[in-house]
Amino acid sequence: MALLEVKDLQTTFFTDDGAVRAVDGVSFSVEAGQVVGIVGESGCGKSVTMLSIMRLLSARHSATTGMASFDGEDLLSIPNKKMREIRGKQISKIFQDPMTSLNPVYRIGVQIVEALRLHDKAISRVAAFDRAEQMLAAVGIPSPRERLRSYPHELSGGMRQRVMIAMALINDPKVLIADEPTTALDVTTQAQILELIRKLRNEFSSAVVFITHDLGVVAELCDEVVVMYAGKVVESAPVDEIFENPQHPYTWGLLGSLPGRNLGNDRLYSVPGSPPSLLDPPTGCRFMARCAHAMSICETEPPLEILDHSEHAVACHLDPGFRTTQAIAFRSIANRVQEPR
Amino acid sequence: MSGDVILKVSNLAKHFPVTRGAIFRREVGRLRAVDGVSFEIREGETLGLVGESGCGKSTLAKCVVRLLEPTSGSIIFQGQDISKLKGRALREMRRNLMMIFQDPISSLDPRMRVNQIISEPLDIYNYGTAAVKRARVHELLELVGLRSEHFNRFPHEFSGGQRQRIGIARALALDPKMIVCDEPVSALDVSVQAQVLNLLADLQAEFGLTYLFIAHDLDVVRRVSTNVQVMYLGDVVERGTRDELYDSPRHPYSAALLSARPEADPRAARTKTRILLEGDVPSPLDPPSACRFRTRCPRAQELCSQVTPELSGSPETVALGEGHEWACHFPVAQWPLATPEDIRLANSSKLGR
Amino acid sequence: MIRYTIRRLLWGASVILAVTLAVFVLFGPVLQWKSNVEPARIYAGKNAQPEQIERVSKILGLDKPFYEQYGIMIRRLVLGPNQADKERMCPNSTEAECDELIGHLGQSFEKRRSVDKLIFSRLGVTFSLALVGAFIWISISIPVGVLSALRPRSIFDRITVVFILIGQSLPVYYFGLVALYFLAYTNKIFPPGGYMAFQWSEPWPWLSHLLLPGFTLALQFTALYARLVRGGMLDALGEDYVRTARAKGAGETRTVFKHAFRNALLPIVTLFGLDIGLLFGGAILTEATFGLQGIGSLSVDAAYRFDVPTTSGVVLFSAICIVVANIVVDLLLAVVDPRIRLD
Repeated sequence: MALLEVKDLQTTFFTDDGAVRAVDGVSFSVEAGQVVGIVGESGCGKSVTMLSIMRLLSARHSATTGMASFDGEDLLSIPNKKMREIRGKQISKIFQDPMTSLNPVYRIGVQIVEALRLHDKAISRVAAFDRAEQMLAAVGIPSPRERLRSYPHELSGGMRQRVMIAMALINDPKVLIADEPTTALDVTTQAQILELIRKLRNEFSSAVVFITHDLGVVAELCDEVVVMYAGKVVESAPVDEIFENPQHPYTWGLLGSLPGRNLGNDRLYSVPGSPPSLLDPPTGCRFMARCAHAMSICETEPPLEILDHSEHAVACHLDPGFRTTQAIAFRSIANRVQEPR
Repeated sequence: MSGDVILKVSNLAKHFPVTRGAIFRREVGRLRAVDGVSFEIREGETLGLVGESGCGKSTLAKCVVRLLEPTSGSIIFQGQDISKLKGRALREMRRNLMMIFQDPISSLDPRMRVNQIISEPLDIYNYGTAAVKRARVHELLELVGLRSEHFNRFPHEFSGGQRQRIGIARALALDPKMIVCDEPVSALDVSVQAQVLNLLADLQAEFGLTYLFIAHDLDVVRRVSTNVQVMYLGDVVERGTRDELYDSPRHPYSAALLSARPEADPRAARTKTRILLEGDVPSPLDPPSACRFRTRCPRAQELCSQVTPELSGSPETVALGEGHEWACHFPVAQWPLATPEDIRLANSSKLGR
Repeated sequence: MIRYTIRRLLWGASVILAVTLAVFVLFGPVLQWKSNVEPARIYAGKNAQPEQIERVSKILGLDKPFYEQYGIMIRRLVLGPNQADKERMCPNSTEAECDELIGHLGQSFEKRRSVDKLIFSRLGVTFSLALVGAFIWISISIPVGVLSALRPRSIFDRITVVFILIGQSLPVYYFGLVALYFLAYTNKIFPPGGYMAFQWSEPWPWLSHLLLPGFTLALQFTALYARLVRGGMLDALGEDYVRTARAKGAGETRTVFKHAFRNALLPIVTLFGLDIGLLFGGAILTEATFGLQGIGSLSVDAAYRFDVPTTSGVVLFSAICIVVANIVVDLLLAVVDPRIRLD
């Protein structure tokens, strides 16, 4: 059985303009030891999905329905107290911006130890600080003892993200949710952090849910990929399948517009237009307005939602045969790039 | 193919003094954002400028369009030194040298309508009668792929990509010769980024524009550039034609950047070898002596802390006129680093030039 | 920290020096040019003869050139009156009597007493009023602000916003008089005004005299502070580090108070220090409404009677209070907020 299984998750925000369904029927699962990438562009609901599962959204401004079973329990229906015991202990999270995610007025040692002592009341102060020191060393922070006494503003962005990772991993969680953890960092620092996550995943055998808009990072790190568009999952597959046999027109668009992947082409493929407003989403397929292959059925009927993630799954009305020929054509473009010019 | 030199920058430096004291200001240090950079761009070409945050690439761009006054050095644009221009002469120069900014939200005045934003440069330079300006704005809207009905809208009614198009239309209004693009697609989603990159390429082909294109994304720079220049801590460490630089980087920093870039190909990513740099970029207030990269360089030796490496090329490339230059005593000899053995060799400090 | 403190102290001293210069120019040369309010004439009285005025000028040192007068003022402010001052101002008195007559801030024209002593005698009232007021506004505004930030747009929040508006727009004298009428005259719950000195054995008389004025004084501040606390808390609660705290598994109370509140408090600390400094210089309207003999009423009386040394003395005293409060706040902030650099 999957470690984390999300079924038909729906999250609605109540705004002044009306209800916005930011996540609309998302299902996926995460196995122990796996890295699952959730990919999509800004506003597609990828971050909201994970915030909903951890119940970190304000209950007064949003509502979540569906199911998110973790270790046999539905995270969405357990009492608050129980949820708090899971947060930071079983499921922990690192955020995009390491500059603002640490409290500026507390030393980082205090903040790391807090994560530990919230879940282990018995541990002594001294033992907790020792543990924090070990953890800082494990994420590659030089002279960890001294760093415990630093304030966040005294560290660089990369160092702060390491601190966030140390804090997230200190309770040995079963699931680590990483929400664009490298987006705010430079490419060489990003490489350091990705290497660290790879290493830690092997050492700690946690499952990782990696939220990103960067397909390069996905290819580097993930085992499974979930592609989201306008609040829905449009395709999900093992990472090689997504890159070599993409089945959804939106995935084609994403891959086609990568400047590093399509050097053989004079022009980048670009998806025309922009995503639909979720205040008033289209009735049929949400990608229809931007899709080069749209048919009349796409306007009226939403494609079947993806529920089973054991195989390569896609939510699209197109004929599977046609999709496969497209994917093959796509692969040949990609291959052309690989050949030396 | 390539035309005359349109922009020639020599020994450009921009230092920001760091001062203390409210009444008696005294200088306690200098932030050397750009420290003696020289390069040239030929008409119709794109020079890509890459580097990580704090390397001085944005400061350099602002000096080139004279939003900042350089501390020293010269900037020859169309045969005229613009580094000291003031007032009217500066304004005249600016019609031919425009800039596109990173943030399409904050770089457009939220209280101005699209037509006002685009026609503002036309107003400033007395482009013509109201009717002429109006027609020009419509022409520009069409050129950047916006529709005529967008004429009277406000910036907040547009998506990020459309706002960047508005910024491009504004930059194009006076038919400039050159456009400095400061991270024009960094804030955009990948599908929209592709639209804007295509647009920039089309405009270049149509009007023979010259671009100075600044980005931290190596793939984007590879896409648009004719030549590429890599900066680290205020200095150029390597430059060359795009293919030279991407196919055989010689400076260890360029090599590290290229190997750190995530590859959108899972199979390649699994077998790829990466050069991981240790630590962070040192402070530009107190850069390391001689070679600035030596504190993080896997190949650094004693010499690197004593003698500053100058930008120079290997004899063959200089002879070919390819202009691939690097500032390193111990450049990378082989690329790509395919096997662990290659890495060991690449990282081994015994390899000389 | 020590270097920072010294820097702040030097800064404070230079600000006070600037204030003395302003005070000197305003109350010295400017007044002396307009002869009908010339200090010597005021000191000598309405029907004084020219020769009397001239003698007074000598006594007050007004016959000396301005730069010398300013020098005397600064020296006296720092070191106290010297022998020359004493000989001029109190030639026939003993040392102890002379101390009553002239101090660092000079001598009051009206009362013929040392301005130091005058201010000192009013300190108890003003400090008590400021402290009781501050206690009231802090203990109301912080919980109210925090609660309404936790439940934005709730009924409680909306009611708070209305009260804040009323509190900010009600003039002190109006609210004070209404409160006096209902709580002191119609129902004799509080004394109708005046002041009782504080005694450890019996603090109630002191407090009972200060509750109404304290509350009146606090009204506007409560409204302002509740609004600031609410805004600060709303901002802090939206910060990423608060979300991080929740993601760690911290409970609501801990998240709100340990993580958000401390950050929200930083700007409040600054403002509070400045307001207290300001109030130590006297709360004119409140003191007038409740007949309290504090520094505020001292300055008003002095201004009415052209009592130049007292007025300028109060101004200097207020400036010193504000500067000291500023320094205390800066040092306090440097302790609370590690991002403030101390070199």
